[in-house]
Order: sequence, then C-alpha cells, then structure tokens
Amino acid sequence: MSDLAQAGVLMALLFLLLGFGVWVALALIACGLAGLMFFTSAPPGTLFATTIWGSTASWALTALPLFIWMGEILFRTNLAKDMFAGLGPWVSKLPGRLVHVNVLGCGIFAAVSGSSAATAATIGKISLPELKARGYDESIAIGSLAGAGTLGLLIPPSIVMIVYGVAAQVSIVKLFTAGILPGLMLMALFSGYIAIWSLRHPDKVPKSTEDVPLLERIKRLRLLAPVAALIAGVIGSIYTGIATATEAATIGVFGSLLIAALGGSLNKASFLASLMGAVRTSCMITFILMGAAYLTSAMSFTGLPGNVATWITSLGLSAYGLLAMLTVFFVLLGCFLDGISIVVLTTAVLLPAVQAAGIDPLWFGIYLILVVEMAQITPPVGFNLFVIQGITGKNLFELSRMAFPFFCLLVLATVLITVFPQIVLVLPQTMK
Amino acid sequence: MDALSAWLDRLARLSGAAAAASLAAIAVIIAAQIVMRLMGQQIPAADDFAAWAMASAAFLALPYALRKGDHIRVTLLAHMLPQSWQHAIELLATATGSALAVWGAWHAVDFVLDSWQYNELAQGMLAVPLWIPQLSMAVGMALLALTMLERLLRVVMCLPLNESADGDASRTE
Repeated sequence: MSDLAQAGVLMALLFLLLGFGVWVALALIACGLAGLMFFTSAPPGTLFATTIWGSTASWALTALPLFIWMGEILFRTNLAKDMFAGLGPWVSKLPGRLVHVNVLGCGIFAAVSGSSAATAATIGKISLPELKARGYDESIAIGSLAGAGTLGLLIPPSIVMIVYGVAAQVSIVKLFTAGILPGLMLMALFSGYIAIWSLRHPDKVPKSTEDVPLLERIKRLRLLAPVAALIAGVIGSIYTGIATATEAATIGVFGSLLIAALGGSLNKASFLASLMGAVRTSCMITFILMGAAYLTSAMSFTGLPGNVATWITSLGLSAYGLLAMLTVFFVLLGCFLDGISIVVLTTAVLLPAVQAAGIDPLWFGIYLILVVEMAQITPPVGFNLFVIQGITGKNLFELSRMAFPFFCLLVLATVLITVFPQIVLVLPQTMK
Repeated sequence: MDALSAWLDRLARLSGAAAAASLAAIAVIIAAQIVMRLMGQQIPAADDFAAWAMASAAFLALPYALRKGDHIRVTLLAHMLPQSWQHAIELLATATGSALAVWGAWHAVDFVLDSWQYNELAQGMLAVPLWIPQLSMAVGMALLALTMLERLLRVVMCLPLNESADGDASRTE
C-alpha cells in the first residue's frame, strides 16, 4: 500500500472511531494498534505496555496534576470576588469600564491556573452576574469572557503547554516563558477592542455610578496581594531558573492552600473536593497522553510522519503558506475536537513536517496554543462555550456569535506572532 | 446486576482514593526535596518516587474517572441521530472501548508479570524491583477493563449509565 493511502486509512479509522463516540484516548490506541498490525511486524502488545508505562511514570509529567490541583484549590476560594472588587475601580475611567475586569481578571487568574475553562468559570461566575446587574451589554460581556478565558492556556502555567512539551519534547520551562509576552499582547488586543467597541456604542455601556477614592482603591487592591505574591513566586521561580516547572507547581499548591486557609475557605470538604477534582482531570488528560504516546511510537515504526513530511515538503509551500494551511485545518478540527487531542495528534503526525519546514518547535508550541484557544470558542465543541452555557443557560450558537470578534482577535494574534516571531522567542532567549 | 455494580463502584472509589493519595504524595515528595536541597541534603531516588506516584495517580484513577464520565469522547454526532440509532451507536462505542480496554489490560498485566519474573530493578539510586511501582498500572488497567465491561453489560441491558456529568469534567483545559 502506498504511504499516503496508509495515512488515509489510519486517519479515516481515527475519525470513524471518534465520530461514533469511542473515548479519545482509546481511539488513539486503536489507531496505533491498527498501524502496527497492518503496516509493521513490531509486537503491538509489548510496545503498548512499555509505552504507556514509560510515558506515565515520568517526573516531567508531575507538573501536570500539580498545576491542575493548584487551579482546583483557587477555584474554591473567594479570589474572583476579590478581583472584581479590587480591579473594578481602576478600570472605571476606561471606555468599556467594568468589561475590562473580564480581561484583567482572566489574565491574572490565568497566571495561577493552567486551564482556559477554569479561568472562564472562575471569573465568569462573578463577573457575568455583576455586569448584567449593572446593565452592561450582554454580548460584549459574554464575548469578552469567552475570549479572555482562553488566556488560561497562553499565560503560564498552562496544562496544554505541558502536554505539548511532554509530547514534543520541548522544555516546559521555555514554553511557559515564551507564553508571557504573547499573553500580554493578547490582553492588550482584547482590551483595545473593548475600548473601541464601547466608544462606538456609548449607549450600551452604563455610566459609572460609584466613584471610589484613591485610598479606598489601594485598600481594595490589597485583597489581591496574596495572589500577586503567588504569581510572582510561581512564574518568577520558573523564569529565573531557581525552580523547575514541577517544583514551581508544588510551591503553587502549597501557596494556594495557604491563600485558601487565610481566606477561610479551606476545610476538609473543600480540600478533598479539590484533590478529587484534580485527580479526575489529570487522569483524563494522562489517559489521552498515553494513547498519544502509543500512537506516536506506532507512527515512528510505520515511518508515516516522515512520509507526510516528505509529501508536505514536496508541495513546495513556504513556511507562511504551510502555517496558513495548517491554521485553516486546525480551526476546522477545533470545531469538533478538544485542544489536548489536537495537540497530541499534531505532535504524533505533523511535527516532523513542521520541523522540516524550518519552523522552531518552541515557537510552534505557542502557535499551537493560540490555535487551541480558537478551538475553545468555536462551536459545536468548545469548552469555554460549554462553561459559559453552564453559567448563562444561553444557546451555544448565540454564545459563539458573541465570541466571534474575540476569535478574530486570536487570528490577528496568530498573524502577529508569525510576522514577528520575536514576540514569542525574545524572553526564552534571555534565559540561560 | 445491582450487586455487581455496587461492588465495582466501591472498587472504583477505593482506586480513586488511592490515586488521590498518590497525587498528594507527589506534592509531599517534591516539597520535601526542595526543603532538603535548601538544607544541602538530598533524598535518594526522590525523582523516581515522584514519577511512580505520578503513574499510580493516573492509572488508579482510570476506572474512577470512567464511572464519573470524565474521559473525553465526541458525542456530538451520536446526539444528532434519531433515538433508536443512539442506542446502537452507544453499544458500538462501548463494545469497541471494552475490547481495547481488555486488550490493554491483558498486556499491562503481562508486562508487570514479566518484570516480576525477571526481577527487573530500577536504574536509579535505589534498586527497587520495578514490579512494585508497576503494580498500579496492572491494577488500574484491569479495573478499567472491568468497569468498561460492566458498562457494556448495562448498555446491552438498556440500563441507565449513572455517569454523573457534574460539571467538573468541563473545567479540564
């Protein structure tokens, strides 16, 4: 069978299995198994056990459950409420006023949480009811929350970055560092859009009602001091090279337990709930990673990614052309698949082709994160939309229409980091 | 059937609790490692222990997460089909899943048995027999297969699945 037909058969099998609802991790395993059985003489069973053990009993991977646990602990604190009270008065002079709290709050929560959906859920459960009660336009409030929630993936720590780093063997610490500037840039884009939109629709943003004196503003900001310290501790220790990602995550876990204890929300029930939540989520992700590791090693036996690379190279696309094509492909894929599955499929099949085109795997990681952020807010499968549906009870397609401007801003951010790759690479290069 | 389900439920919860303890253990091991390093000391094979705790946190939680409905699948297409088709599709998906889980469990157990028979040792500072940490893989995969088979039985008998989608799984990424 020709190489491309081989690839076609496996792709068809994968999408068939996914389509009729086989669990993603098991569908990946089935694909690896089929590839090994039909196209190689390697022993599929032994390889399976070796690969899933090797990929799971991994020290680098421990950062994943720890960061998830940290987010779960903070999710159960009063952080979001403090953020609304603390940040609100500072943005009330900007066009768009309290809508900016969505962006700032999500940006800050993203710096302690690795998840986009958790970011949207934590900030949204406070900010959406508050904005609605004050008469803000619903579509800008919801759209900005959907968009800004995705910052959880880009601003370190980030679960999807750990998944990419482990699967593509790129330094997690470098990926985290590389995400900082694009994350800040994206926040500026979101806030800029909110400001411009508000200037054009002055009737949809209510007048400022409360004028908080400066002293009171600073006092309220103190509520956020513990989080600021936590962010400085976690990101600072990673960036300065004092701690590995795993160690920073451990510091984060103990730091957030301390914050929860100080805020009075730590008790046996909330502790156990956060731990069980973290176990379930990280198990789900690790299971997909096991499937991906098996598929990747099966793929390297079949030599298929190399063939795909050769084929893509033979198309004679420039790096820009390739990225444009990939972006369209990923956006379509992102409508139906979750981000982690997109990342592991990409690293299993496409990474050699990307490297052959001369694209830096570190930069590509950040690019992939931006694409996955788009996938979070595209219907019919978009985790942020699900979360916001849970809060507002609105129809998924209505929500995605509200999120569409922010989807476009994500596309713009992707173009910007492609044209100016230094936005991604400058910070990691300053590390030793 | 109910007795079987209750029994599996207990096993899955027990396994989930062991996974949670492993996750907490990772945090404790790494925190201890940081503290010891600040004092100029070292914990032998701490990295190995953290990695093994990682494996046991992941493998032992597999059946628990399945029962909670946490493992991601694409249910969109199935939900668009008429009701009568949905059952057939669910049956097909669960049967495929069961076959794969049983196959995987078989090889995982076989792998650990081999490791025990040939007395494979860890390469790190402590020469721990590898089958001990690997036991979590055999147990977790075997329980996953059992849980899948019970699910298959439920689908065949048209019983409710009791997978509580309590929103926790939607905070995943």
